[in-house]
This record gives sequence, structure tokens and C-alpha cells, in this order.
Amino acid sequence: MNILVRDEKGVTVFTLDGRVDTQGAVIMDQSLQAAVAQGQYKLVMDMTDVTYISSAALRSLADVLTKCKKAGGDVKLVALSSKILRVFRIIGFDRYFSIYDTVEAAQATY
Amino acid sequence: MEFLGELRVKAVMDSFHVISSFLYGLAQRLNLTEDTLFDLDLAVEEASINVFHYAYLGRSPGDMLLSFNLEEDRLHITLVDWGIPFDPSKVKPYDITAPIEERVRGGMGLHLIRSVMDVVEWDTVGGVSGVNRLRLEKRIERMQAGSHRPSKGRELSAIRAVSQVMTTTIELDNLLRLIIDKLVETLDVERCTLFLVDEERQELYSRMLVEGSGLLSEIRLKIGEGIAGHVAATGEHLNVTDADLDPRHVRLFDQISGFHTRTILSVPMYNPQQKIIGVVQLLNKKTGPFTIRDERLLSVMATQAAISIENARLYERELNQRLINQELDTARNIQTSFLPQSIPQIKGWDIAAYWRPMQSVAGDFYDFYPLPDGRLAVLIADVSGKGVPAALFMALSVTVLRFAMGLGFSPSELLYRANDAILADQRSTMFATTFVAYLDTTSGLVEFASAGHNPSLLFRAEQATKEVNYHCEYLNSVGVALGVFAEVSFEEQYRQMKTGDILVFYTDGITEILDARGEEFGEERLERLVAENASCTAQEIKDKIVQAVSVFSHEGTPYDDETLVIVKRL
Repeated sequence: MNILVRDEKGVTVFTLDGRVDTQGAVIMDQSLQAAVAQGQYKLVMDMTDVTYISSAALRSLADVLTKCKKAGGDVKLVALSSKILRVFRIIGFDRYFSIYDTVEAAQATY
Repeated sequence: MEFLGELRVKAVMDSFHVISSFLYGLAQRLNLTEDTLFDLDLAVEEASINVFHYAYLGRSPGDMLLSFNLEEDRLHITLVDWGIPFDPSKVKPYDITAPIEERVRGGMGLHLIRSVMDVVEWDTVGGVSGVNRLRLEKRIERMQAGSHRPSKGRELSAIRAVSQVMTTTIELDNLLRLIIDKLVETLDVERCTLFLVDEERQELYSRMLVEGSGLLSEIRLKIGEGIAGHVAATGEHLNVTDADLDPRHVRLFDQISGFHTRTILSVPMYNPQQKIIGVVQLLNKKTGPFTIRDERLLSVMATQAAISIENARLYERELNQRLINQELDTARNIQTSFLPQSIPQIKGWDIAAYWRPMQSVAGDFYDFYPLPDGRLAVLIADVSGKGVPAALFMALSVTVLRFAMGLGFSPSELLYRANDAILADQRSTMFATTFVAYLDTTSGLVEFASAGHNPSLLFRAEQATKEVNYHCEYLNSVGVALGVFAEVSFEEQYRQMKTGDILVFYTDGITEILDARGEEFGEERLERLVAENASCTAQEIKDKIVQAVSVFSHEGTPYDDETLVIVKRL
């Protein structure tokens, strides 16, 4: 898994690819927690090229979402594949995360 | 039910990419759809995480075994660990409507497994450290024929070919030959050599060559030398377009085999721990130079091959261990037959014995032998060293000592003769400390001699009642262990045993066992135990001592064989 972070007009955009498995989740979590620690609470996760996700990554997302919402921010997800979306539905996360088709659409809501 | 394959890994995070490579190989082989692979991946990862986190909690991680079987279109997966029993009913059910902040902990993995698999069942066999078995089952979906993207067709079938080999073959030599065949076939080369790393000698060796040559004598290369040696040392991929111009190419092998190497593609084989375990080398692609694509393809196949080679080695090791264990069991049975089959029953005397080898076989032994003159010989010995060599030396010593006892020698003469016989028979540097006592069961007279053995303990019943405390004597006499020096003499002494007196023979496994702080059990504790239980039977005294030693060492692994003989005059 690779992760790319960029700031665009006060919104932090994370672009991920590949397998966000248990080990990938460790890297993703470090990256997300670092952003939160720096006071960045408006996050966008571009998941276009994510092929796999497991519970460790979902726990990290839930934790970061909770922190961001408390600080008036949010974690918005972009372009979940049908397989990834199914996992979100299985654990009922689809109702807590807003999901968009493009990064631009997600950014525009902040 | 068709057996698809088995994978045994250490229950640590680093094992993940082996597991996922294995699953990927299986998916290629069964032509699974991406959706099915995704679900298998998820269920196996979540279940493995559970094992990695909890099964071996608080101790060093053990193994996890994954097995795959196919029954028509149903895939059966079994995960086995040997850790703390897992009780799924203790896991809080996952509430998908709970607020997000409560979702961070627990239950999610289990919920995911249950959602993507058709059958999820646990069972646990055994006690504290038993066997946990998770059985998963799922109906699989396969890709329609011809649905591969054409550009990837060849790669997929090549990977599938190696995966197939990898998940079915266990025997190492067969496996290597099959991998080589597949590589030659799918990459269309004249020759393929598979080198394995010999870590001890820092060399690469090849067990075989292909192309009708069958098994050639072993080729060896220093790591760092030649093309393959360079790949093994650096982990680089080498694509040599003209071997004649490359100074690293070792021409000797060409000269020996009459083969002309033109082009070479060589990549390392990484095991799951990211260590290089070997090198694959392809020679002379039939259709031109090796391409970047060949290189990538070979590298994927090399990784798959490495996993299967490691698996095969693991099986070989296990098989060897099982054989060794069987042999040790046999050795133990033979050895136990050397020991007295029963305790002598003599009027006016009460006798008990205890023998516990540290390993399957021991260097300790004891013996009772009725002498020609009607006395009873009691003998205890401790062979230097442990395990099989000690056991063999023990067999020699027992034979010699028994033979000598039948000839009517006194204790000191017996040791003298036995010592010379043992020295004449063996060329090793082993020795046996021995204590021998002749007991006149009518008069209570004990004659004894020692060959460097611990003094035996004699508890005096009469003096114990007269004085405030108990009284013990140590029976010692001068002598060197058997098997060290030729023609040494042994001192002989005697004592008179009276009613209530207890004679305790022991090996240092009893008195020198350590507790958690490194303190020895010692003679004093032994004395006290005998004195406190002096009114008990020999059997009871023996049990008390064995129990005390066990408690003292916290039931830890014994560091030595333990042997004890109690003789009480009634």
C-alpha cells in the first residue's frame, strides 16, 4: 500500500492504493493521526485504487472520524469500489461516512 | 474432498504476506473471481489476526497451520493454533447500529468473517494449551473461461503453474524439479538452474540441471562469485544479454557441460522473512534476449517457489523430528528394561526406588542384585553427559557391573574390575560415578565403596530420639569415577544399620536442582525431609522427596536425570 498526502485549500487529501490490510493500516493510521495532531480535521480519503481493506483500517478510520467530528471536521471518502463499499456496509460504517464520486465533490462540501 | 494445500507459519504479523501470496496462488490455480478472493483474503486475515493477537498472549509466538480443501464448489479452510483456548461466545456481539466512537474495539473482525463466509465454526481440544481449530467454508465462484485479459494470459498461467506445484508437492527434490520444468516451459529457455543458499558455508549449490541431463553432480559457488553468486549477495536482478562479455560469468560450467551460455536472467528467491534462500537462473531464451517482462514474471515465480521450498523444508524437518522421536521412544524402552523390574521384598526391610530421565533416555541408573553369598547389592550410578551417548555408556556400565557382581568380589574389588573393563571397552571420554553397597539383610551390616559418587545419606533413628535434633551420617569413601584412570584403587568402608535407620542413595539431579533464584535444593533439605518422615514407609519417603524437589523447582524442566533409592530397616 502507498499513501500520498497533500493540502488543498485547508483540506487534507490522502490518496491510497493497493491493500490496506493490517500492515497497511498501520501506515495509514500514522499518516491520519499525524494530520489530526497538527490540527487538520477536514480530511478526504481518495480510495479509487484501494483493492482491499481489513478491520484494522476500519478501526483507524472510525477513530480518526470521531476525533475530527469532535473538532468540527469530518473524514470524507471518495470512490469506494463495490468490494470496499460492501465491507463498509457489512459493519454499518456507510451511515457514518459521507461517500463521494470525486475528490473535487468531497472538497466542495467543506 | 480434494486436498489443495497447507501452510504453516509463525503466528506473527510478518507472516501476512506469505499467507496472502499463498491465497493468491490458490486463487490463480482455482481460477477464482476477484470477489471470491477478496472474501477469502478478508476472512483469513481477520481470523489470523485473532490468532496472532491472542493465542500466544504472554509467551513467544507459536505456529499457525492453514489448510485448504475443496469439495466440489465449496472451499474448506481450517486454521489451527496451539495457544490459549478461544471461546467465541465470550466475544461481544458486534452492534452495527452503535455510535461510531464505540466501534474502535473488538468484535469487528469476527463479524466480518461471519458475513463473508458461509460456515464459521470453532472447536478447542485439550486444556490450557490445547488445539484451537477454526473451520471456514465458502462457496467459491470461478472466472469464466477466456475472461483473462489477454495481455496477462501468459503471466497468469505461468504463475498458476508454479502455484499448482507449490500447493501440491511437499518433497523437496521433486518440488525443485517441478519448478524448473515449469520455468523452462513457460519462459521458453534452454536451461534453468535453481541454486539454494548453504548458509553455513556461504555458498550456493544446485541439486540438478534440466534438459534431459537429469541429476548432475552438485554445483557449488561462493556467494558473491559468478552471476548467481552476485544475485545472492546483492539481491539484484541480472539480465545479461551477452554472457561472453560479462566478466562475472563463470565459464567453467560451460566447459564441463559443453553448453554455450549466451543470455542469462537471474533473480533472487526471497523467503517470507525477506531472506534470500536461493537464486533462479535462466539460460538462453529461445526467442531472443530476456525482456523486462520476463524479469518481472520470473521474480513473481521465484517468490512463489521460495515459499513452497520453505514449506517443503519445514515438512522434512518435521518428518525427521518425528523419526528421531520414535527412535528415542524405542531407546527409552530398551533402557527401562535394564532397570530392575521389581523392588526386592525382604523381611525386615522396606525398599523403594525412583528414576526420572531428563530427556527420553538417561545416564542415571540403579540396580538391585542378589549376591552369591545371599547379601543384596544396591547400586546407583550417574553417567557424565545426557541423552543417547550417556544411555549407551550406561548400558555398557550396567553390563560390566552386573557381570562383576556375579563373581563374588567385594565392593572395592568390584569397582576396580569394572573400571578396567569399562576402560578396555570404550574409547570415549565418558565416565560414571558409582556407589555400591552390599547389604547383609540378617545382621544389617552395610559394606560400601564409591567411585566418585555423591555420598549416600544414612539416617540414624536411635540417635534422633536421644538428641534434640535428628542425626544423619554421610557414607563416603575415596575413589575416582569409573572410566577415567586405569588401575585405580577404591576404599572400602562399613556401617551397621539398626531398626528405623534409613539409607538414601541419590544422584545429583536430586540435590543440585535449582529454584527460581538459582539456589540448590541441597543435602540439608534432603536430610530434613528424611528425618521428618522417618516413621513413614520407604515408598512414602520417596514420594515426599520427589514432591519436594518438584515444588522447589516450580515444576520446572529438570536439568538432570533424577534417581533415588531408599532402604529402610524395619
